[in-house]
Amino acid sequence: MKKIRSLFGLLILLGLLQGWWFLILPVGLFGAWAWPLYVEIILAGFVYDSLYGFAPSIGLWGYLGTLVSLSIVILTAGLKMVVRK
Amino acid sequence: MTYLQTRHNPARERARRVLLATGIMVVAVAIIHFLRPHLFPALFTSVARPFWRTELAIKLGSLTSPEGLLQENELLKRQLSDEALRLATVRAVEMENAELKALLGRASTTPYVLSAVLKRPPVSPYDELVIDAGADHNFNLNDNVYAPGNVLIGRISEVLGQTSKVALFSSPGEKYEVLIGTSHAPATALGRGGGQYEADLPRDVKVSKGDFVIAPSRGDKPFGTVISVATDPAEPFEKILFAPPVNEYELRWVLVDNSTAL
Repeated sequence: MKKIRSLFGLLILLGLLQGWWFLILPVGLFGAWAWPLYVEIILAGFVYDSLYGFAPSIGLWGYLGTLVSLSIVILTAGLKMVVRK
Repeated sequence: MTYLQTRHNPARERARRVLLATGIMVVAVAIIHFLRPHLFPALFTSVARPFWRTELAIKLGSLTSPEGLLQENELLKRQLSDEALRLATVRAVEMENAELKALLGRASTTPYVLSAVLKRPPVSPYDELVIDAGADHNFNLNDNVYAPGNVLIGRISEVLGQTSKVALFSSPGEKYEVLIGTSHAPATALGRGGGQYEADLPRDVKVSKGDFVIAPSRGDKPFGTVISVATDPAEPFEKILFAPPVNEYELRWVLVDNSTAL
């Protein structure tokens, strides 16, 4: 399982360097569901915004990656609590 | 005698600690970002820049074999000698142009800085470019950015050490006063993202596909060309769609005017 998580980390890294949010998003969703507290996706959201967003001219829109990643972690944690009860 | 039973679940305790640590980290990062907004972008960009430059070098063919490079060099030398002939004519026209502009009281030349485009839409969802020059070339916020052919496409929105971010004028929600077509019909252009703008004009104004659009507030350079005119008989206005004469998605190089910020 650790190997898969490392592989997912590499995929996320590749997505960050290329700006491929469409790669990071499904990997992050799967990771958040598979592992408890998948912090990599929070970090990925923040780094993505640091690289491509965070410009004052685009306002809150520049924090989209961070907000989406935090939402994924919180929502999947809640959903897992309900489903796995 | 009864005793209170203490529940000790190590796994739950560990999860709680990890959650708490993550929460503290998120708050700490938020505070640092609020106090030093350029710290994290500069840090992560400096890490990513070597990868982006390598990718650019591969795309530009800099990593081909020595034989290939020699052949290309020879070809380029030949092209250069051909171009030198044409350049002589162009220089004469440029001199004339400079003289005419000087007569009209405007600066004839502007020092531009050429910069490679490291990342561009549509990969980035923010409708921004990341370019390979920043504070090291004395860039400032709101410096104008031109595509080849002197087409104004955006302005510097964030300056980092060796990179900068360029907010494209076509970003969604951006508004500009423009003059459309040969009649210079005034209108307000609204950015739609993806290098496109829209504007409403009364139906009786004659505008056709291919007409030039100028934004006086952004200088006298061409701002775009009309790509579509949508007319609805029930509406008093027609919708004009226009785009810059260059495809922003295919840009590899841009010019930055770091002498003035509008």
